[in-house]
Amino acid sequence: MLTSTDKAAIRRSWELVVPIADTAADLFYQRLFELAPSYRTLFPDDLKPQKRKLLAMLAFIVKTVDWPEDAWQDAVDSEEDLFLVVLALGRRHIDLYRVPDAAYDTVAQALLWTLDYGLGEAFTSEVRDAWTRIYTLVAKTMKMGRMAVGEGSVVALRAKS
Amino acid sequence: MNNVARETLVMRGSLQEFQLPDVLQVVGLSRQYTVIELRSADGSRRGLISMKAGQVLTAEHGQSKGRSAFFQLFEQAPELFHVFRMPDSKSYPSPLGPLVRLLFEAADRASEPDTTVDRTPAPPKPKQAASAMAAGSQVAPQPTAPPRRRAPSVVPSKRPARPVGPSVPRVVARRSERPTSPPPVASGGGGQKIVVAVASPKGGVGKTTITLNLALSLAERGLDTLIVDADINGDILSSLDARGRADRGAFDLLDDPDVAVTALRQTAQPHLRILPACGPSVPAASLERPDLAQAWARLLTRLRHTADVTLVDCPAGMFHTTSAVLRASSHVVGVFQAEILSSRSFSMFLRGLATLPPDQRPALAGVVVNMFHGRADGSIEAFHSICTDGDRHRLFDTTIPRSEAFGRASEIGQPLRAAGEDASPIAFLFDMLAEEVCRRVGVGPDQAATSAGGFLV
Repeated sequence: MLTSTDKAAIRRSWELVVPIADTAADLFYQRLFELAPSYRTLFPDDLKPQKRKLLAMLAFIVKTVDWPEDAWQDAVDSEEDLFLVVLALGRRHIDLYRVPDAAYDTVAQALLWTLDYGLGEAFTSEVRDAWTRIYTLVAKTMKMGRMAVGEGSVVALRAKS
Repeated sequence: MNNVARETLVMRGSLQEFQLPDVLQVVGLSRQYTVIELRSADGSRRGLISMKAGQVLTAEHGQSKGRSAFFQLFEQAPELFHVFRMPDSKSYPSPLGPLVRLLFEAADRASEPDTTVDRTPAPPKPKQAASAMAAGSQVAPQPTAPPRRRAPSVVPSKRPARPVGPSVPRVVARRSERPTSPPPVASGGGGQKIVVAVASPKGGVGKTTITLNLALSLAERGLDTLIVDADINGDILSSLDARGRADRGAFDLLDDPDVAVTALRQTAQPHLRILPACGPSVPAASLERPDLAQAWARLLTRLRHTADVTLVDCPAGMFHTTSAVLRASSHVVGVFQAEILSSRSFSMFLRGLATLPPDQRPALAGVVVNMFHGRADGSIEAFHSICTDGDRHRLFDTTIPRSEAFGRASEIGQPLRAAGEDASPIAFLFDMLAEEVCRRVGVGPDQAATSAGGFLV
């Protein structure tokens, strides 16, 4: 369960990651391939585009997971909707990349390790819990991508892009 | 603006794969106007929940609408879900409340004894419930049902898992809540939720047997008892010949403590439930994860609210998974096999405990001697060796003998109590052991009567 306290912790800690984003991306993939060397073959030799995608997605999650409670009635473009975008991302990972569910656990370990390493003392237990919760939710959404339906829907179209 | 002109199916699936709280939380990330339609396996509609931007707008279940319908849907366990994105509207119904608050309340209701009673008119206490749970503190004590003396069978029944609310990852229990040795004596009725790890440095000493039969005796005393199986190798469902019935277990759900609550298997003993170690596949990633201790702490912090006493059957050895469980437990019971080889390795029990930081070390409830064989010199010698150091180990007075009854019980996949007339004396020993455990950890309905001076008034 993601609370408003978690969202605030994610936002504040991300602000500390931004200045070291490139290093964080390097650390993340380094750790990921340490944990699961076989995953290296799933990525192209040049990891720079992949690192940019990773940072862009994390920034998107941090930006879109939080909104003022009294703004719930506001209309939001589907391109800016965390659920729809991540659901499409998940479907893409399943349909195109054949990513197994077990990989999400490994990615979680790499992500938390990277945040721990990068944030140091700022990576408090509250921050760790908050990132664990949001990652768990995002991973579940991606896994549910296999259940996404609707040819021509936002999800289907984005999944092909 | 990429709005939709009419309702659009976004996804559909089975609630066997993803629980209703998971689906709601995931859809709760969306700022679109969304409807989750819940259906039976035959496709007939059971109800619906509409949401937007984390607010629950409406809920329907049969003729019921509103908050009552929301909670009923958790109890009715629908099987299929369809998620529709709806066109944006100029006006929306007034929300029933934020999803996070309603899920906390659903979890609160699910942890209470009777989830079948519709308590909708009762004033909600979401903030109190949420803050209590988030702090890992204790919920209000549950009334303890009177002991039932029916002949038990612990074969997991076909009754579906208890319907329950949301996935609410919990913070690690604050060590200040944990008793230090000697443990405090709680008031009767099991006011404090106790987590007892059953551990031993050596395998094959009977931890699972002790856990199962002790748990059954605790349940017979009227204590809501939960067995959590942390031993993936010699799991407890195998001794009940029910391994095939586990679709998921503790290792599968370390990240989903509240979902784990829905995976508890009810036994034929009304006060006893079991969380298996794992489902059909081996959760290798969970076994290797670096944050095992934190994960077990979150799981047990959540589960301890579902029972008066939680017994955790640890794997052999005092480190790795056992260490993670011990750090999250309030008490530990050691199992000593009255046999020479076991006695040589048992020193690792206290040494293993000593490696834990003092503020993460469970209180030693005691050590039970198991498989004692009065006609075997080796068994007697081992028994004497542990007795010479009995104070340090806080030996229980009750000793469990070696008996063929255990083997017969395992053969028929039943706990000892159900293995026939000749097993009843040993089953009685577990009742005595349960009484000692209750006294030492401070739970049970008869604390006052058994304490000094309690009989003469």
